Amino acid sequence: MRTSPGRQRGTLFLLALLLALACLGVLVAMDLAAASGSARRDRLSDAALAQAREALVAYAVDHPINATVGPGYLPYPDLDDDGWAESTCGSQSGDSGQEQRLGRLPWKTLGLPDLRDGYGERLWYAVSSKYKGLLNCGVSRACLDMSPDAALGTITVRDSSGVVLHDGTVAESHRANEGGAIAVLFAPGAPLARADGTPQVRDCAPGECDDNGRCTTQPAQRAARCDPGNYLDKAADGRFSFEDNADFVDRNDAAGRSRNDNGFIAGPVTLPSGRLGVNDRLAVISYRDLMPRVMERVAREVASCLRFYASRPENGGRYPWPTPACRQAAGEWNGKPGVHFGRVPDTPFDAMASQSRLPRWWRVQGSSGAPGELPTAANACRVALAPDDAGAQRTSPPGSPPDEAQTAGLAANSWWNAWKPSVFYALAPAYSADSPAPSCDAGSCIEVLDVSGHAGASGKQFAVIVAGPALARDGFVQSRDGAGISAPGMWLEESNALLEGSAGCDAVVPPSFPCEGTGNCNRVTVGASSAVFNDVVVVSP
Amino acid sequence: MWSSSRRSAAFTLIEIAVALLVITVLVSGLVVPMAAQLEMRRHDELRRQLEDAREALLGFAATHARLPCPATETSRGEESFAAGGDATNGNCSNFYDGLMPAAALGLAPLDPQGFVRDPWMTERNRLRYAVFGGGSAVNGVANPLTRANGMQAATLAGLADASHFIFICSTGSAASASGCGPAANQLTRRAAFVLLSLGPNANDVPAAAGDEARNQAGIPAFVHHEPVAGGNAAYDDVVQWVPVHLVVHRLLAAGRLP
Repeated sequence: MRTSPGRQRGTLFLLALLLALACLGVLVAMDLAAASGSARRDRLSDAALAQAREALVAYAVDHPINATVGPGYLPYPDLDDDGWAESTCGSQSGDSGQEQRLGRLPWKTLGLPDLRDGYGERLWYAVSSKYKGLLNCGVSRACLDMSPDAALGTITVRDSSGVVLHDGTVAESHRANEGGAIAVLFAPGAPLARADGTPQVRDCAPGECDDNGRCTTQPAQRAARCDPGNYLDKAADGRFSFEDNADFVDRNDAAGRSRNDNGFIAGPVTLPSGRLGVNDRLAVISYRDLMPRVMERVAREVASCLRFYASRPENGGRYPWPTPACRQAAGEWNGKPGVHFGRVPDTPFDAMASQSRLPRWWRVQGSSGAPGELPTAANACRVALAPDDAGAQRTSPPGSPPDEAQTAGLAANSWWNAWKPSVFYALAPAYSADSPAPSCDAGSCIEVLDVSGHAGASGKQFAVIVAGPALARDGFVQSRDGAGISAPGMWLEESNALLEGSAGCDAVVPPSFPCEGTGNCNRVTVGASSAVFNDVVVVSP
Repeated sequence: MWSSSRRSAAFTLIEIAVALLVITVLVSGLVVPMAAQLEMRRHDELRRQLEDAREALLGFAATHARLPCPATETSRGEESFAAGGDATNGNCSNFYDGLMPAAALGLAPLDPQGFVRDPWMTERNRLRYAVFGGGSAVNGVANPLTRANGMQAATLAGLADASHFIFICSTGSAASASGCGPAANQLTRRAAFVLLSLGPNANDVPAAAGDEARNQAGIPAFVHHEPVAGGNAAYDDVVQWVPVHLVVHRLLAAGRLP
């Protein structure tokens, strides 16, 4: 020992202090890193994405509908960063306005708070050309057709290893669930260098934005702040460099669909150099996420129409006769007496009128009764032409306009035209027009089964069954064209496919009525969507 | 030991002095980030609390087919109805200046009076909650959101056509019970309910006619913008809201609508 013991103790003390300080410093640094680090930011991004995703699904499912335009549409993106959806985003087939279908989430249109990802950026949003709700949709049959077989997603999405999760080129409805996404949400994250090495710059250059930060250039994407390339990434890696998140193709016409391979890739994509190539976090609204809920909305709308009809004093709790499915191949949609399963009939309900019940969805011109009992435009059945009255209380007499309460779409375009082949209707014999006193005590009612055939609830007055997209099961793909429209087995599954009886079919094909003779013509199967069952059922009550 | 070497003892003192100096410099450098970090933590915690509260309210709506009434200081975290009010008519005592009915929703942890406090923890930091109701009826139905099956009675189309629910304004300068003033001031007019934390400055008296004062004025208009430090314009409220169509969506999913 060269130094004295006292001197040594002092050095030790200093060393101990420095050591303690270093430990403290490391602890604090770790804590700070954990709190402000990427895990926390990613959590915030995911929470914002989840909130936006639910609001978009809610918009598509619950948006008010009328006799012309049905449910299922999503808003346009916000291109100029003012929070509001733009008023256009390309043509019906998606062959124009491609860049207008990628912008920021229109948070004000959705009524949401100003959602930000973990890096303080607003969310970005791409919408499928099939699901954008055109302002003039009512003039186009194709635009109004959001039925399960027609409204396939169109956007291709890859996971961070390049595997296709949602394939926008899929055109067959029986593969709808593996098909393209309906909408994609992005949390853009921190600025990166894009594939060509240009850094992402997100500030307004002079003259590009107004005082509120809205991009005022034409088009808005020309401003740095509204250019998707400054937020959404493109990896330089050879394997994924084809996938630029700032552009995509989504066409819903036969000619263009094969080009939908150009979609989006979910981050984080790490390049061979170890650098981050794509840091966009994605949330996807897939066909499977949205379509079953839209089907349920349609089922509930139809159920409320049927309930309203039955509640009219003239009908005394009785529902209209269904139109037997066997008739639709011949283009006949009128209800037939004695039929307890089929589709929702078109007006006039002649078979009801002959039993002194209402021939339309509600009372019409020339009938007596208080106007207050009639619906207004706000609460009328949506598969029927609406009355004129817009307010809360009906004031005009029945039959204003003259065609009110007729089935929508008989003379002009309507969402119901596209949907009605998919919507089936099972009526309890106890609640049909010939029932002297509607009650399950007086006759047979609908029974509910689960998908494994176990009995559930009973005593139901009717069931509305909406067929999902075609399924490939039992060795064949459900084929719905031509004669297929008249075969319930091409639309429905399990016991729902066996409900048709011979009444009203007379000599028309198909001649097979499997439930007859077994007493099972009132058994409706309800269950979760799967590879072998995708009917959505609403029973009442 | 002190006697063993006078020289080395003196040197140890210098060492201690140097060490203390270093510690002081380091700690003073750390205090600011520590405070900032604590504040960030509190904001994170608040975000989580608001998320829980939001889900609890939406869950309540799905199970009861209505939103709960706000609580008051004296209702012990339970809903507070006006005289003659109940779940059937949805007539709340304080639609726009009440507290989160945390006890009624089973949230935790509760303070001794049955409320949830935000991470700044003073009594004034109880989470506040406002729900649309009172004056304006929707499609002829008064208090459509707080009345049992009120949304069903108002109908989906009626709710969609309603002229407004709660207003959320980006500035309070022209906000009143009837709106945000100029269209550019309005973030939304379709908020079903609003969750509000008064933030770190909850115990300061807000400047009259300031944006914070407006958030406690008991009117169906709330102000939400980035925090502003100090002075009469001081604003650190945290406002969260849920649009009506999202409440409708949850009720549809639960089979409570249409």
